[in-house]
Amino acid sequence: MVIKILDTTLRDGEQQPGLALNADDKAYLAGLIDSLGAYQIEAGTPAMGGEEKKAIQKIASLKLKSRISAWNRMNAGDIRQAMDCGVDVIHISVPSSDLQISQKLGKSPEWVLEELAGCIELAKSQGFIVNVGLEDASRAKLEFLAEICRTARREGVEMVRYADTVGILHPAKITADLAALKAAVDIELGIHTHNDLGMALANAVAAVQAGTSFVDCTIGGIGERAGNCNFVDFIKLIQENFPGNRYDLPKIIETEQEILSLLFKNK
Amino acid sequence: MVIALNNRQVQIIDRSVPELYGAAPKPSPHQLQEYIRCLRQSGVDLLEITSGVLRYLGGQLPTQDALLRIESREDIELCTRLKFAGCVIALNDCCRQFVQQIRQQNTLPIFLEIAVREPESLFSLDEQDIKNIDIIRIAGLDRSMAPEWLEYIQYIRLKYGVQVDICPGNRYHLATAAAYEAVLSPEGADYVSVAFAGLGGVSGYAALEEVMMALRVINNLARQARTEVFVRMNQIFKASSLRVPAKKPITGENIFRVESGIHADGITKNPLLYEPFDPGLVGQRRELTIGKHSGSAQLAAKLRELGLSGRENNLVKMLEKIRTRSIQLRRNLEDEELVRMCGE
Repeated sequence: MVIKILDTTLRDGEQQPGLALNADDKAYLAGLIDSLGAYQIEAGTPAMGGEEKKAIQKIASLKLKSRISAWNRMNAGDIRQAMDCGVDVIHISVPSSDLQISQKLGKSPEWVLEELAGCIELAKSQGFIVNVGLEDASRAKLEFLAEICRTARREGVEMVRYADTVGILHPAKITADLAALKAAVDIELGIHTHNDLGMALANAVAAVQAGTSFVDCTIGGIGERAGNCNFVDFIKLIQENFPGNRYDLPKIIETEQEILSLLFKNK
Repeated sequence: MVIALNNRQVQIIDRSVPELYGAAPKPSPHQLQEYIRCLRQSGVDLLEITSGVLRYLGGQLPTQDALLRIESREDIELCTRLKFAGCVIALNDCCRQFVQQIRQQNTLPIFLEIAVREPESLFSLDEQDIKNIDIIRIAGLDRSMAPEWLEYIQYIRLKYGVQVDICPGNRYHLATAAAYEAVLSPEGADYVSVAFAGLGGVSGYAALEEVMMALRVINNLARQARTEVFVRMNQIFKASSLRVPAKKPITGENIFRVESGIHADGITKNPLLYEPFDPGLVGQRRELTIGKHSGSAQLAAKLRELGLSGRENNLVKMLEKIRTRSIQLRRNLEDEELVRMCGE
């Protein structure tokens, strides 16, 4: 299976406290990440407006080999901002756990499904590829995750990403959850892991073994709290264990160092 | 604090004391004693030590919960003089002799440590090496994932009739997951060897604090463990120049800093929305930072924290200035810079 690395250095990675990139920085870094062979680059969050939105527009205009996606909350306002950016893919993050739905949004699961359908329709009406993110999936009810996947499939979403938003996943759980989701709905799946308990990489590999094709990584494993799945560490493992996924590791390590020195210049 | 699950018991062994003892600069005997006290409070069942550690502490160390690593004949005599929970012998040319000598003198549990790079070598062990051994420690197998470890554990247990201790190597950052699942699985290990901060060996080990917090947060186990001691253990490590990265899970100094507006807003409503556990559980504190990704609610909270409330009607304008300045500096703003900006 060819694994599609979705690099989120310029979105989740940049959310790591202490990092603040301008449009030129982000465009240059996008070029470097593209050269690493990332299938998709999650360029940022258009709803932030200002320099962030300019950066995403600039990256989209580069016409890189990697597809460019923009991260959005599940609302029409965010999606319209993303549509302005000329990206290839619009990602819609869907709060999927009871905790997120009730305490963050003050809504119901039924509302979430309805709102999601509306947002997907909006994005697809303008010809965008749509990805959906199951925010806090590792604490969500499996049946509801399957419902979201069914809605996504019905509305023509390309990929649904299982997000371990607070980093509490472990390999046996992701293996079981993905098996259940694959049995319930025929849709391409992705994985987004966090390293709060030191298992981001192990979880990502377990997810691939369970049939996930998209894997989110960041350069240096940067990101919120203890960070995300480390791009280079992930490559080292999949090269050996998944034929059909070859990377020029020495060149990647060299480029990784260049990216990290740019990110942490003067720090 | 033995973990009892699925009709079996699992004990956690920490290997970090010799690592700290061997650091440069060496911790003082007082610091080392304090570190060991913290380890005992953190949920660890057994500490692996060397005779060098014992001598350094002037013999002032209870050893009933310690495993002595046997590195010489003198260490064997120590086993007889003092009461240990067991001893660890590495599989090498001397091990049969050492095992025989120990067995002649007492019934101390013996761990035979077998360093394994490739799984195939597990299937060609010399039976003579396993004689009189109570526990086989499988150490290494850096590339193996949790399900593979469970197979190896079962194989060794059934073939040799011994208990199994696993000590995964961390070259590929898979050790914590392997150790954690070896604790939980019904076919898991009897002992799991880890090290604080994962430091030690050729490629590091599963990190004690990651495994302990995983058991606590995911499974509500290890509730008697005083996990807030991790921050003190980290300080002692740093004093001996043992580097713990700023983003290290559980103990990294930057992991509870929050800048993103969406996350900060969620944390204000309920911290568990975007945090796996309360920072206080591991002796840390949350810190709101202000920068490019911050939102107005977060800025208002920060201003209140700095005693600068009353500026809420200027939040949108302030946020714009903050984003511009943050991008110019390529980082978040420090509190003093925020205070100065408010005065402008």
